[in-house]
Amino acid sequence: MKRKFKHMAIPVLLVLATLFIVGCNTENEGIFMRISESVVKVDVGSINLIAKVSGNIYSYASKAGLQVYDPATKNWESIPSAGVRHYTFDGTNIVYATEATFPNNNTLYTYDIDTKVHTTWAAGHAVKAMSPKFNLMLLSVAADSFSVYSAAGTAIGASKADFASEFVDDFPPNLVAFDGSSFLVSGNSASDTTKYSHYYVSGGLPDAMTSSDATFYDNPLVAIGTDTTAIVAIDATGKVWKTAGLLSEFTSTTSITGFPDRNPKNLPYPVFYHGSSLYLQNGDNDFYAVNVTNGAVSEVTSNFAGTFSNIKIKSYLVDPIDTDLVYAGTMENGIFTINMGDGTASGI
Amino acid sequence: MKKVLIVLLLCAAIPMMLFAEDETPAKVREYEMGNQMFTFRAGPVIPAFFFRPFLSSSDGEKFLVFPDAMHMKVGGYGSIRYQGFLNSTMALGGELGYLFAYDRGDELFTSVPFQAKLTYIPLQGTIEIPLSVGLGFAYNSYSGGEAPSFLSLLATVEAGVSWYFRDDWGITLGTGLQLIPEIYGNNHPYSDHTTLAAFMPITLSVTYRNN
Repeated sequence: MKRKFKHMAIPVLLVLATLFIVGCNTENEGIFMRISESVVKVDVGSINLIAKVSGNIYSYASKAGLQVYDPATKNWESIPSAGVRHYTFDGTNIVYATEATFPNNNTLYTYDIDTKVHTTWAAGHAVKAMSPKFNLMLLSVAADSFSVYSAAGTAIGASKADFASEFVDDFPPNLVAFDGSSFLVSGNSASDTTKYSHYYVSGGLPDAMTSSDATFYDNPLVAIGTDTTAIVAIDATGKVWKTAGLLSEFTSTTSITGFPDRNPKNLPYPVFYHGSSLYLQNGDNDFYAVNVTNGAVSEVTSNFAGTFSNIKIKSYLVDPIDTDLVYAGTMENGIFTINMGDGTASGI
Repeated sequence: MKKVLIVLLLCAAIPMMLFAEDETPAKVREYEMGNQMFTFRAGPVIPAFFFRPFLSSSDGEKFLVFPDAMHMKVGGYGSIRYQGFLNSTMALGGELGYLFAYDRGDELFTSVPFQAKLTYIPLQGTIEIPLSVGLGFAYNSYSGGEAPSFLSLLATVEAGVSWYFRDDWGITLGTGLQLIPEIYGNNHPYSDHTTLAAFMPITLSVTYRNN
């Protein structure tokens, strides 16, 4: 009997040891940790932040349309509008364009956030993209011809950049803004639509962004940052490109791991700029900082990175007064603030 | 006179003896080796606690309890169990279950526990008290983030009260704890996320037994 027990004990111990090893979770940061950090979903959908004015936060929510959110009362209020496709903010008005099938023009409206009055623009435009926070819009102005404008009242102002032959209507380019005056336009090249052309604009004529590395032209650029001396751009695969000085040749530094595949892949990627770095969340919800001066990529270990380990972010908005305060519009969990001063984040 | 008294006493005693036979308690079913039990269980599950022994206090609480701190809602548990008796009080077998619970963000946590189960029944009869321990493992999944999953160890302890409304059929109200460890090695970047999770199913079971 004793001998039988000994024979039984060995396989039992082996099974237990095997179970212990397979029970070691090595693939992620912990299911139960994630559960304990989960937050309530907010039923307005993904939130693309537009502006913060007088304590209210204006946004476009995927399920609810244009919204104004009051953090003090936690009240969401819909801004009446239908079929909103593009939107931006000119400092007084939310300018938005409805759906249109190219080559028909989109109808544009202005919504005054003080008077809450909608005004229809006299002229429509074929809007290809708007930068929600920086009052920029990319229009198709003629066959295979695109221009960037800002809203001025209920009309477009003077052109900020023209692209008469660089892109084609079949593959319209996209607009990726750093601020109201610095942006890039990136899209399939007219000469070879399997490749991409990138142009940088900062108060003057568009400058072609170039590189001796042929892979620079393989993907659209989806994010940009500049410290006014150097430029950093990120392509749709997460590869980081930098210049030594303004518009010198771009060289690749490293790639951001876990960068998500997106469709369409030329959509601007949500980033925010703080302290000479671009901050972004990858597809695994990990945060990375890209140093704009040297292109170095580092994982963010601040407290706020842990807060968002279970929350996907759709957009960012730097507070217009306190630049240490960053608002994060999430995919499903409402709006958070990130305090870059102490590295914390919380829902509002 | 004596004879009359004896006859009267006998007349009184005989019916009493006959009735006394009728009032003999029904024979209590006794288990023996080879008897079997099939059990179907279902009921709500309360996430009881998360214990994170290696977490530094600056990163959060080591011990999170239901309901607010765990960020989990009441879920559900169902299982099937088969056991055979080793002797008159002990039964050994296996249980396959399914546990689910949603977190605060409505992401789904599921666990498929499969375990060896030993049950001791100290009180037997129409009313029984089964006490069980289980050891096995569980396949755990979570729908949030990149939908992680992992296989873990599993330990369970349970107690219940059974009522056999028929000789072969009974129902049991039971509860206990299911312990699921999520273990990270010392060299893992998230080693401090090692967690012992406990769930408390409160189940109503239907048992069929035969011999």
